[in-house]
Order: sequence, then C-alpha cells, then structure tokens
Amino acid sequence: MNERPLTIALGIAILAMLALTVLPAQQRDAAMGRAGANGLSSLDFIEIQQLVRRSSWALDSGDNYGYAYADLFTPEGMFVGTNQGSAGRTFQGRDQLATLARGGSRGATVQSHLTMNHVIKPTADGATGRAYVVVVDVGVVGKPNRVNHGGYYDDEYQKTAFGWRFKRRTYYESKVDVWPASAPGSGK
Amino acid sequence: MPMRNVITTAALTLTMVALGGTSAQQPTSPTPLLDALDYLEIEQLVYRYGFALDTGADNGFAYADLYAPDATFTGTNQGPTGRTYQGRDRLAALSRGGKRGSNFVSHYVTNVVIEPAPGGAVGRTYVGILDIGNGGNGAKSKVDHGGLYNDVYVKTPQGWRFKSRSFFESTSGAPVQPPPAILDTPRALRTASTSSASAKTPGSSSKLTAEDYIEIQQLVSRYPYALDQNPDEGLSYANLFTPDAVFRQPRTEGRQNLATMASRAPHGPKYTRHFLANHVIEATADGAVGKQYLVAVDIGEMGQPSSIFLGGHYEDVYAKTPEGWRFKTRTFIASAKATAAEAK
Repeated sequence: MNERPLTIALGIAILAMLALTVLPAQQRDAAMGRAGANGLSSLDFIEIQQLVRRSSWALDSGDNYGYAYADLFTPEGMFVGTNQGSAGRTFQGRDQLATLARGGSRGATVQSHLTMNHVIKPTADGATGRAYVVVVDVGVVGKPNRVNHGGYYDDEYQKTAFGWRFKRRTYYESKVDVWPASAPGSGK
Repeated sequence: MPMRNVITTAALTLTMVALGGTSAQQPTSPTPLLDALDYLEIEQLVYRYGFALDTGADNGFAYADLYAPDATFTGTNQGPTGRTYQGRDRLAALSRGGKRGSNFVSHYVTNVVIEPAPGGAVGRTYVGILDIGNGGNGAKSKVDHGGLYNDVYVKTPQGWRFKSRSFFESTSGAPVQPPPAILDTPRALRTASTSSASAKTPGSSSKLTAEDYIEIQQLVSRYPYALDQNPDEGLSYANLFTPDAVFRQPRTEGRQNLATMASRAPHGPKYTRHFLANHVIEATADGAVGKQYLVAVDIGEMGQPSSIFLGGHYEDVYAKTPEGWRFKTRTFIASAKATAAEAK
C-alpha cells in the first residue's frame, strides 16, 4: 500500500485543524491588541478599568449584602485601610470584605467614592495600578454636601478565570508630606 | 472505493467536523458583543456629555446631538414624579438653561461602567455636580449635589448615542426612589470576533486605535501623580511632555523649566490634589487633541475640613513619539460662567 496519500491527507487535516484553532485565536488577539509590547491588551486595560469603577459602585451600594464588593477580589484578596487606626486595618477573605462593604452609609442611591486618574502597569504575573479617590457626602440627611476626605488606592490585579480581580488594594489618605531622604528616586 | 479516496474522504470529513465544531462553539447570544473601541467610544460619549451640558455649546444642540433621535433624558429629581425631555429641540433647550459658559465646568463624571445589552449597551456613571467659583477661584466653590446616571446606549451610523439617560439624586438616610438594578459581577469581557482595534467606526472621525486611546488616557492619568507626588524633582512630570512642548498657564517651555514648575507645587508621597474627569479624546490629522475637567481639592488632614481649591479644564494636543504619546501643548483654563454677551 502506498502510504503517501495517507500522509498527505492527514497532513491536510492537521493543518486545517491548526488553522481553525490557532490562527483565529492569533487573529483575535492581534485585533484586540493582545500580547502588546507592554504585555496587556486593550481589553485587559478596559477590564481593569471596569473593575476599579465597579468597586465604587459595590462599596457605596453595599449590593448583595456586601458580597458584590467582596466578589471583586480574588479568594485570598485583601483590602488594607491604612487610615483605619494607628496601624491600619486589613480585611481578607470574602466574608470580611463583605462586612467592610456593609458598614457606614450604603444604598442603591449612595454615590460617595469618586475614582479618577487610574494608571495601570503590567507586571510579570498580572498588573498593578493606582487611582485617586475623593469621598464626598452628597444627599446625606443632616449633612451639607461636601468633600469628606480623599487619597489614593494602590492596587494589585490578578487575571482569573472569571476576569480581572483585586489581589490587594491599599488605601492611603492624602497627606502633605515630604519624601524621605532615602526614598529611591526621591532626589531629596 | 480505492483506499486513497477513503483516506481523503476521511480527512476531509475530519476537516469539516473541525469546522463545524468550531463554529458550533461560537457563543450564541441575543446580546451583541462589544469590542475595545465600542467600550472606549461609549466612554467618550459619556465624557462629552459634561462638556456639552456645561458649555451649552451650539445653542444646546451639541448636547442634544449626543442622543439618538427618539432618545430621552429623565431628571428623576425634577418635581415629585420627575421630568422627561424627548426630541432634539427639547434636549437642546434643557442644555441652554441654568449656568452655562464656554469655559464653565460643573458635571464631573466618573466610575463609568458599561455592559453589553440587547440592542446595544447599558451603563451607569457617578456624577459630582460642583459649583466652582467664577474664575476658578475655589473660595466659594462647593459640592452642589450629585448622583448617578442610568444609561442605555445605541450604535447609530453616527456612532454611539444615548438612547435614554436618567439622573438619580444621591441620597442617604432618606426614602429613595426605586433603585436601579444592581450591576452584575464583572466577568471576562467577551468580544466580537470580527472586531478590529484599528477599525474606523462608521460615521465617526476616529482614526485612533484602541491602544492609542488607552495610552492617551494613561498619559493624562499619570499627570496628577507626577505633579502631586513628584518623586524625582519634576523629572517624571517633564517626561510627560515632548521636548518642544508648551504648558500654559504660566507659559512654560523646556524640560528643566517644566520640572522646576512641578517642583514648586505642593507635593509629597501621599499627596492627592488634582482630580481629572471627563477625558475627551479626538483624532487629528497628525495626532490627537483632548480636554478634561480638573478639580483641585485640598483634602483636610486629621479631620480638618476639605475644600475645593480650583476648577476648570485642560485643553491638550498630544503627539505620538517613539516613547509613546506625550503632551505637545497643555493649557489650563479656569472655570468661568458665561459673560452677559455670551449668554445672549
């Protein structure tokens, strides 16, 4: 039996299967800017932006008994409020994070945490980012509308099977201060 | 049947099975998928809203033209049952009322979330409505009110437009109107397989890729960190500009002068003062231009009250360099209500 036709036919089939699986994925990735020079695609940036914006919605609304907020974190994810107490306070795990999002003024029409200036940087295993936040009291019964406080979030993001999630989020209150003399790149 | 034909037939059958299997695995959903440019263009629509409403440009029609022809705006805070505006003329009239001016800023839109939905997309945004003192001097500036917009977007031949937009006043501790539905837990974005990040959107002038939009967004987002935190005596700040860039006001040119200017401003490792919103980006023949709102907030420390220091907007020209997008010019214009002549 001449095996050449078999080889050719199987070769065609294998090439066809490869073309149907690998090439479309590559084309999609190229079209969406995946595997760009900085390691994050356009959609990665957009997903991370959407994650950060949703965190304000989830925190202010307390949706789903706080779990809408908790579910923005990885299972081992944590939030650190450096302004809470003298040494800061850490909330880790779904239940603790949900509890955090249930405290204070919450509700579907509470809009308090306005995030802006979101920068995102790729890392070897995900991404990091920072976002300013100004916390306003608006429509709070018995209080004038005003800026309450503000600062910035320092974030670590991780891509999971369900999309990008916070691995760690740390809040720093705005402070007039000077760079320590030993700070790398402080130049002071 | 000769063996060769059997084998060839088997191979082709395998190929067809692979083809069929692949197409059968394509997600089928009545909800259209959004690509990166869809998300970014919807975001641009949302950011243009603030400028159009606060300026009342084109006798209010710049605002009206952000809506589809049959679209509505509902102010649920207007009267006991709210008020709805429909049609180009009524929407334009809405945008002509109240405080307006070519350099007036008030509606700061943030936290824009977008989800695909049957017929297009839906979204929600926060809006902080500030009363910025005339001239940008924040002595009398205050947070006037705020709340959320609940949006439905539709893709038209002219680009994405509002199909409906409803404003809900922020309230806490008081009876509230029926709250909008909660947001879904975010999932990995599903995208249109035919989308192209460099595609020109029909009816729009966009010639920027999704990567361009994001890089320019990131450039502008880095600006406040370089100014407020300034870890390197203004070097990071100066590096946001092209070598021949000009900043106004005060007019400042040259890397060293830009660095010096940044270093004279208050700064520190945890200092946050410059909050930017409503970043609109438009392609030009040789790059891009953009504008965005600024509110400079003096955050009170140790329980001290916070205050608004300054408000206005930046107008930018961006240039794509080998190092990425940079400011070619950046001009700050303080908020100002319309003059009597403008108001006529």
